Amino acid sequence: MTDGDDRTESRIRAAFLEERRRAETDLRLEPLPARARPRSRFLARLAAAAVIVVVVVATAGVIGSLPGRTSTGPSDGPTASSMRTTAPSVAPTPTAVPRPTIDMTGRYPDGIPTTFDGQPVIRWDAALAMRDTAKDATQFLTGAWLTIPVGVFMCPASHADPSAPSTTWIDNGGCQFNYVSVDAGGQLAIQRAVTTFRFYKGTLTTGPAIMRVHTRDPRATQCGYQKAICDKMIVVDDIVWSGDAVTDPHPLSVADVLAATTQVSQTSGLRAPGPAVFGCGADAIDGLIMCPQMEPGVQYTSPVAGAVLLPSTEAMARALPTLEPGVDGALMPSAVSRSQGGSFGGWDYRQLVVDNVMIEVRTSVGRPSESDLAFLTRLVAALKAQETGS
Amino acid sequence: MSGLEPVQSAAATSADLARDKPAVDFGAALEGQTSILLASARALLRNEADARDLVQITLEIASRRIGELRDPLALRPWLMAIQVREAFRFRRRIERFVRLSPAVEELQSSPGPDSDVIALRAALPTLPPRARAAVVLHYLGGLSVAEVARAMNISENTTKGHLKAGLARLREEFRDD
Repeated sequence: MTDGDDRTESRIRAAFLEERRRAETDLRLEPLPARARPRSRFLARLAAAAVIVVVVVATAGVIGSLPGRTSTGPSDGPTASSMRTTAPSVAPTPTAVPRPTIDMTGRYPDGIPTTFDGQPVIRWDAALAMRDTAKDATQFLTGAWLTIPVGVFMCPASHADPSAPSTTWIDNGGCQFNYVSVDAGGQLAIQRAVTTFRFYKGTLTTGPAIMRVHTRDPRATQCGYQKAICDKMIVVDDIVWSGDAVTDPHPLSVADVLAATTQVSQTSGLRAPGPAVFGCGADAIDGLIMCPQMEPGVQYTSPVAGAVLLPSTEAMARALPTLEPGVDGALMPSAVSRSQGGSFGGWDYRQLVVDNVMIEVRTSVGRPSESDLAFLTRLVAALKAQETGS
Repeated sequence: MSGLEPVQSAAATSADLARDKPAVDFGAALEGQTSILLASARALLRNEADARDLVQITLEIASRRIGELRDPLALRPWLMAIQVREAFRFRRRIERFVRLSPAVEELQSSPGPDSDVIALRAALPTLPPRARAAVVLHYLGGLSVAEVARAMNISENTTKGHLKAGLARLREEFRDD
C-alpha cells in the first residue's frame, strides 16, 4: 500500500460518506417508493392462494381443535380462520373419519363468500375500479387475500412535507409490506397509495378477508398536496370476515403439520404461524410460515428447519412449479434452497413438498445420507397419515 | 435460519433477538441503515428507481430473515451482503447492473456534489460489477476484506484483487498520482 493508495482510499471514503449524506437527505425528501413485488414466487403464491379448488377437504375434528375456529357460513359474522389462529394447545387426535366435502355454494372459486350479511362482496379488482367511479364515501365490501409478512418491518417516515402531516395514508397504516391480491390469479402488489389500513384498528394477518371499505374519504384533506392520491385511496374501515373452513389450508392443516413434525422429530418444536413469528429461512413462499421454537443457549437439533403452508395443493404447485412433491422431489438438486456451514458442520436445506405444505429439512451437504432419506420418508408418511386420519 | 446453526451462542443470540428485545428495535435498526443502503444501491445500479427498489427488496428480505442475524452488531455487513446478492440477481434479471454506457440515468440526488463525488460517480460504472461491489462494500459499507469475501462468496485474495483494481481505476479518475 503506497501513500498514493492511502490518499486515494481516504478520498474514496470521503466521497462515499458524502453520497451517504445525500441519500439521507433524499430519503427525507422522498421516502422509498412503492413497488410491485417482482418475485415470481410471490406472484405465484398469490395467484395460487386465490385458487381454492372446488372440493375442499378438511377434518371436522381438526377444525374443531383450532382455537377460535368456527366453520360458519358466509353470513354468520366474523370468524377466526386457522390462517389467523395461534397454535393449537393440544395435538390433534387422528381420526379415521373421512374428511367431509365442504359446500362451495355462495363462494368465489377461491372460497371467499360472494355475499356477507346480505350485502354483495366484490373482488379486489372491482374495488380498485371503484377508486375511479365512486362519487362519495359510501361503504362497500370487498374480498381479497392479504399477505402480511411476519417479522418487523421498516416503514419510512413520510413527513417530509409539513403541509402534509398525514401522508401515512400513503406510506403507512399497514406499512409498505402489506400486500393485497387483486383477484384469483391476479398480480400481487404492495398497496402503497392504493389502499390504507391506517384507520383499521384490528390486527392484520395473512389470509382471506372481507373488508368494509370506502373511497372519497373526507379526511383526505389531511394529505395536503397529495390530497388527490388520498381521495382515491381505498380506506379499510373494518375486516368483517377472515376465513373459515372453506379457506383454511387443506388437505393438511397447521395442526396436521405440528403433529406430523413432532411425531418424526420430537425436538422440532415448530410454532404455529402468528405475527410474533420471525422468518426462519423457510420462506421460499409466502404462506403461513412455521418456525422452530428456539431456546436461548440450547442447540437446535431437529432436521426440521421450518414449514410453509398454502391454502391448497394447487396453490403449492403454483408457488413452487419446479419442485416435485415427495421424497424424490426433495432429493433433486433443485430442492436445495440453500446451504449453511459453520464450525460445527454444514447442511443443505431441502424443500420437501407434501400437498399444500413445504417443509424445509436439513440434510447432509451434497448427497443426502441414508438417514436423511429415512427421515424424509418418515416425514412424508407422517404427513400423509395426518391427511388420511390413519 | 433462526438459530438453526448449532452453535450455542449463535442460537442464544438469535433467540434473544426474537424474544427478549422489543420488536421496534429491529425496525429502528433497519431504518438507521436505509441511507447507506440507498447510497450503496445507487453505486451498484446507477439508476435511481432500481436503486430504491433494491433497497426495498433488501429491507424486506432482512425483515423476513432477521432471525438469521446471529450477531446484532453485524447488522450492516449482513444487510449489505443481502443487497449485493440481490443486486447481482437484478443484473441477471434485467441486465442493468452492467449498463456502462454514458447514457445511464442520472441520479437525482441533492445538488452540489464535490469533485471527488463526481469522480467517484464517473469511475464506478466503469468497474467490472464484482469489483464495483467490492469497492462499495469495503469503502462505503466499511466491511473488512474478509467480510466482503463472505458477502460476495469469493476468496479474500480475489477480494483484494477486486479492491486493487477498483482503487487503481479510482486513482486515475481522482488524478491522485
